[in-house]
Amino acid sequence: MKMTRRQLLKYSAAVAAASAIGLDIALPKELMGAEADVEKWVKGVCRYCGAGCGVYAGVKGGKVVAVKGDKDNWNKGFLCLKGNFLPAIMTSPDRAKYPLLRKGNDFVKISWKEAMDLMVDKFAAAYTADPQSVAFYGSGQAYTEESYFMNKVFKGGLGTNNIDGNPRLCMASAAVGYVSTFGKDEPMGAYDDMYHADCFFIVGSNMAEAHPVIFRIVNEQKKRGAKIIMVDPRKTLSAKIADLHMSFTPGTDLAILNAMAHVIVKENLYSKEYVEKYTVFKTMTDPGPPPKIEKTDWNGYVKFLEDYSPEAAEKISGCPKEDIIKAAHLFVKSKATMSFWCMGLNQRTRGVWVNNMMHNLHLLTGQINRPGATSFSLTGQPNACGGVRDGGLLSHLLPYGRLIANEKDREDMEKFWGVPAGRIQPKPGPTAVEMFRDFGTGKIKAMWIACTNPGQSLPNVDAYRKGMESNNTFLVVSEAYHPTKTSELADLVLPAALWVEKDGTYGQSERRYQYVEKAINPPAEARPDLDVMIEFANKLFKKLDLEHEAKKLFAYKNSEDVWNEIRLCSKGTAYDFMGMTRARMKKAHGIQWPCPTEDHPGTLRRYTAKHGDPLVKKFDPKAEDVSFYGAKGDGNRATIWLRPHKGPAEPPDAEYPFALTTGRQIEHWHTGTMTLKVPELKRSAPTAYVEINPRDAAKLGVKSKDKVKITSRRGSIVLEAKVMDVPRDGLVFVPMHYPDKMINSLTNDAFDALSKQPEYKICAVKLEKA
Amino acid sequence: MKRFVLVLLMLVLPISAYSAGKTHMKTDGQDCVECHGNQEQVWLDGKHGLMNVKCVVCHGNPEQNFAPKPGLSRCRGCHAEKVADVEKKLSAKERTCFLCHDNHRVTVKDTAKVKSGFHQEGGAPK
Repeated sequence: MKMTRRQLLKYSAAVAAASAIGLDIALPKELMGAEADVEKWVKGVCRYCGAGCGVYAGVKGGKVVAVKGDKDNWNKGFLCLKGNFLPAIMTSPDRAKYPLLRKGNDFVKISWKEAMDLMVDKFAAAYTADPQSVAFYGSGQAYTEESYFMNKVFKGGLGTNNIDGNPRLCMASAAVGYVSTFGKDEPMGAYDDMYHADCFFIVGSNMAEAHPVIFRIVNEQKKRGAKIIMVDPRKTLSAKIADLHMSFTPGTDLAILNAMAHVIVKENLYSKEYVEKYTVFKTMTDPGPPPKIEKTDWNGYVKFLEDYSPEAAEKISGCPKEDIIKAAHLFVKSKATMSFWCMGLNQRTRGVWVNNMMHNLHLLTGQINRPGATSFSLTGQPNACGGVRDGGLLSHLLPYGRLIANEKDREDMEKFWGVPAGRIQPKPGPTAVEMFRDFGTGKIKAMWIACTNPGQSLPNVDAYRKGMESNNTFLVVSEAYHPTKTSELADLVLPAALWVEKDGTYGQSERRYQYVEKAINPPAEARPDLDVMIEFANKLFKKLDLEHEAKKLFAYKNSEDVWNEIRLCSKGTAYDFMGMTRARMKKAHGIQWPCPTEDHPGTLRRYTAKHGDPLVKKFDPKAEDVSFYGAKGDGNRATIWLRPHKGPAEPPDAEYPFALTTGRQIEHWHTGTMTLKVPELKRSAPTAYVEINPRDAAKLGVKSKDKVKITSRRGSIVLEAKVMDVPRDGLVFVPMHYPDKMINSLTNDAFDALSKQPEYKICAVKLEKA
Repeated sequence: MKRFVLVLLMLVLPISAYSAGKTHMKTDGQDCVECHGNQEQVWLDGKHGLMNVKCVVCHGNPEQNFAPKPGLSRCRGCHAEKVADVEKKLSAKERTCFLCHDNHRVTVKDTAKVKSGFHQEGGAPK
């Protein structure tokens, strides 16, 4: 409804007057600031982080005009600051509306037919010359159906494993951590555990800003007496609610975790029964590749821990030994301890090791497999778990727990997809950083990037941007916005439908899969990625004279057809969600796998029959309750790993004396393509800055708002200083969201040897007043 | 009676215009706290402060869509059920959360007309 100012004044006066004489005449709802006559509320999931808050999109006149939290979902109706502003991301003026082709330094509008023909020609030519010269880079923001489909096209159809996704940059260490400790990926616990926990052990996670709705629930538990331990070299907003904040030299948390285990063992606080019944011990004697692993035993573990007394850990980490002892006591003595961690642990060259060490503490103490006691990795993207980790859109994975390197798994998938034996290549493909290196050297000739922004988000990004803009390769970028720091480098930009402009499935951190219903049409000629992918695959295979195969492989009419195949693909695996029919998902407020049958309610806690995991009896019939049935080779037991302390790849030194860490602000998400388009969020957090503590600032002669030049071995940037007592001495922090101030020009692309996840969280820099 | 209404109209008209059309003074992109430190401290001490429900959620962007007195739509994102209660149970002139809730600390005011039973679920879920 539109109203002139004159009409508004008349109306206001009339209502005020009428009220004065007792009549109840309401102002139009817009003017009262009330609901803008929403025509329908459409159920979905928030577009941003991996918390996966249930949200309703309010639609009016074909537009999303409002949002409200889903009170029947785990988030109980709450949204975070940025979730409240979701409608504005849909109508941003820079939405990509038409296919665009690069002409020199410009882009020109072309038709979808022209775009598709060109893309098919380029990929077909590259593939014909060398099947390993085409690649796809996917996203933890794509729907599960999209990720599954492209995995099938590349691994099953084209016979190349040149397909990886951005969860390699954020979740790979958590995934390898879960697999190496418990046999299968993904947390065993649920958000529900928060309501049962009496102690929260939170490491490397600023959940107040990165996962605010989860933080809200943790804070509620504090009110009922739960203790909160926060381990972080910054005193973040999350630390405001901590009973114990443990600061340490960045990269030395491995020593702290081993020292906690040392205290627990020395003081006889461990659970002998749990350790004996459910664990084995392993050590890595040679990092490889391939790594050499040996089994060891309790005595070996005790001996290993000798080096990690609290005193020794204090020397390494700078964290007071009293705090380490106190943390160990709180962890083990609470009725139920829940651990949370995020990128502070994952984005490290020892990310897998430190993930293992978090699990070690739970296994050692028996703080696991019961309500409130669990080790829970927080996720960054809304479908990193569902679409990429579970669906296998990483270069070493096949769907639902299967591995490229495993011959039987390859055979399984070849049969399931109906492709010739030997089609799936046995060698894992390049991982994210490696893939962009190969694109830079021209080994990969044609690449398709969908729903992500590596031109800003890769570590040491400038090195990879050169490869992306090369004239010798062909880069297609499917994006909802243009330009982004990636689409500006593309040869072809395909306009993509965003969020509720298409339908599909998201799977978040607690194994909860949720259906996002289509609410509105995309703008102009933007299309759902899945439609484009299906058309591309069919046309490419026709061009390659494989039309007969395409008819069999890609005969989908819509996302529900793909979803039904995905359900079948999960059947019989540890992920089994056959019971999640589309009809059921439309009604439900998310269902947690395993969910093997249509009458199964979903599984809150895995690996425990007593608490409802339906697969314990299937995979380990003799188990009375607990079984880590993914670890069959270890007798269905979890592994306690002997992981030594090792620091970051690039610690500060005399030349580069500060450690740089990067992270989120509550206002923004990832590379800001969405949130920086929201006027309120942009106003609240307009640009990057460098956070320096007052002691370091005084030494540098820097005050807040002074310009500071930060330089690493890879690049340099000038930012405004914010002097605040948040980072510890020798540490500076820069938010990662801003395309005009790309901090990833400085970050380190060294990666974990096991997970291949880069060490965004620590690199060495020097600072000078600019 | 007619004269009374007219007089009343003259009195309330400027107030109505003020509420509906006010723009924020030019800010040069300053942080809200630079001028509104007192309000920020009250907010920080409250639940919205702890949960980082920042100024812009309720008040908008001062340069683009400033709302000095936030309407119900600003609360709906997280408190849809409570907003529905307000819409259903209060008369048009009372239809605001701040009839009962303190505006920055977001606690229940001592002067609240109805302290319990107004919201069907009895406050925020735990």
